[in-house]
Amino acid sequence: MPISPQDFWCSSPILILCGFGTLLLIVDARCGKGPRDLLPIAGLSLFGLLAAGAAVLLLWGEFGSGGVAPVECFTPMGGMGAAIRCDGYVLVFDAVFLLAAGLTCLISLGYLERMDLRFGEFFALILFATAGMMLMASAMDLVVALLSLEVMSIALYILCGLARTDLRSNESALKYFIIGAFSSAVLVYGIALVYGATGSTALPDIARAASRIDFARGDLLLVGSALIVTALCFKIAAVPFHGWAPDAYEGAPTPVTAFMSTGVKAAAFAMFARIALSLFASYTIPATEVLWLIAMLTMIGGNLAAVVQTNVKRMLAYSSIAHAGYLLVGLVAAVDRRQTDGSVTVGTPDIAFYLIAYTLMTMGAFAVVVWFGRRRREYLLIEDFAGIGFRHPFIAIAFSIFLLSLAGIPPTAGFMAKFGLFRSAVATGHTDLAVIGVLTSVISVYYYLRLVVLMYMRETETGITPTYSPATTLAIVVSGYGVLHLGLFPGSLWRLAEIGAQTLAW
Amino acid sequence: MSPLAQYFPIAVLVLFAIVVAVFLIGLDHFLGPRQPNPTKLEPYECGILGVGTARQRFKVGFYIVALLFLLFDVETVFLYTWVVLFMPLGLIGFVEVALFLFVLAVGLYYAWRKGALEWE
Repeated sequence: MPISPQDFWCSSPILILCGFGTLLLIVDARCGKGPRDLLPIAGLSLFGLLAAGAAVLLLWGEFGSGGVAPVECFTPMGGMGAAIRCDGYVLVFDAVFLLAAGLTCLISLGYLERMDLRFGEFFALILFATAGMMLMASAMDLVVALLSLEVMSIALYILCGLARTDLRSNESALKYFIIGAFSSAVLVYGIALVYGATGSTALPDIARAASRIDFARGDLLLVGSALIVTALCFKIAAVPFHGWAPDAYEGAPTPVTAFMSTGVKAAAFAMFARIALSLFASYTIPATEVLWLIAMLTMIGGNLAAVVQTNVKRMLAYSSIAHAGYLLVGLVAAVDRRQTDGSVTVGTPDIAFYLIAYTLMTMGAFAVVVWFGRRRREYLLIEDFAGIGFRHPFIAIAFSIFLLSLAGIPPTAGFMAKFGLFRSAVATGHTDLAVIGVLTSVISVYYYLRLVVLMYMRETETGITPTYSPATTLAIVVSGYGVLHLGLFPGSLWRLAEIGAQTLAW
Repeated sequence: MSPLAQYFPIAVLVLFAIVVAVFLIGLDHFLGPRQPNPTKLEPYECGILGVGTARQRFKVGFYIVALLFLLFDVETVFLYTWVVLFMPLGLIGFVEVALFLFVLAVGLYYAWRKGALEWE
């Protein structure tokens, strides 16, 4: 089947982002070498993100609401499966990526100028990475999934090392690159073995073939799936594959850290869910037991390690590992239900909703950290935040809301999101995971509230002062409103996530 | 035919390669005049000595030039496959290749403006 105009229409958000990324490179190159004014470039990139958002909204009206069946795009000649797919699930995740990218652009504008990192490429790379994330969410073929993962990762390796004269930034980029390349190699190996076992790289074919292979003879499929799950666990930084994350997160420029812990995590989970629900479509492999163990280790490990951190960025890095553990609880529920009766509507909407809430609250928290950062002294120690509740009440209130939401305390988005995940876990008979999740959330309250306590209960004479930046303020206001809105009125968005998950079936 | 028998042509090929190589090197050994000098005896006559510390420093410019070379090398590979299927792919193929070349041109323009082609 040749390529039809509909294929281009369905992939228009990705194409728009790629087009704007290229345009940004041209605009940046026109300025030549040397420092430049970042405002027009940032404005253009935000315009590109808005255009892609408009395309996502139009596509949602057509394919997301369930009126028209999901579309398989770019089916190559010769009987291979479609490359990508446009359905409600993809569009919900597209919105998460665009939200993360937009907030990153907003908080980075002032930061890049203060840190003397006036690189126009920053915004182009953010757009390319976002396009890669969208491809990851919509990939229907393991090879396309791998390629889109690389599109996203290569852009992020560069972003991590953006501060070229900063040793930590170099360390971060190098560690991220080596682990990324290593886990991609593991992924390729897994894909090759799964191809050997099932005879296809297309996810629907794999799901069909996997149900016919019986477990005793499915050793090739077993090893292949194990390698793919391992590689994806590296990408989402699940314990025990998380060692790279704190160093990579700490060294990268703070807006990049924010982007990594929200957008990248969302993209990896969108891909993980689709691949896991195909590989483990029927009970040929005891997948839930393995994912159960990883989820438990990640929740416990991430939260315990976060308690002893003294650096805010490292603390948020471990917290992001812990949140990957909560998300894995949703994945366990989804895979369990998939293996029981083949449906994909349990757990997956909760993962999507959690990622929206998590993106808002993490971006908000990082926006506050970014606000205090300046050249030579980034003020990243937890002690540095002592007493700002008295001097800068607006920032302190916003920061407190984000931290309470991360801890999962009502009436914030974090509570509703966790509630959804644990409800699905209980509904599929994984009450033990829900109990571990709640207990580790209690541990997390300690390290999140420690910051709040320091801000309001310790007065200091000298302290840090933020540099006012309208774009960062806007990002904080948007995420703060989102966190409270989703906490108080989660219904409408929850409904969207559920509709999206209903169109996920293939 | 036994499973191994189908590899017979490969065995012939391997044997043939060995015979040709030994024959040519032997011919050179017996017939060729030899007037060695130090430069001729180096593994590579032009380039960096093959013996010495491995921790030699390269100018980073080499890598950028190598990358740009790779870019156009890969471009040629893609263009050849397109040429073979020019007629069946039709207009869509042409548009896609044009887009591909445009993206490459943007990359070259970017590298040029950023001074990647200046050697000092």
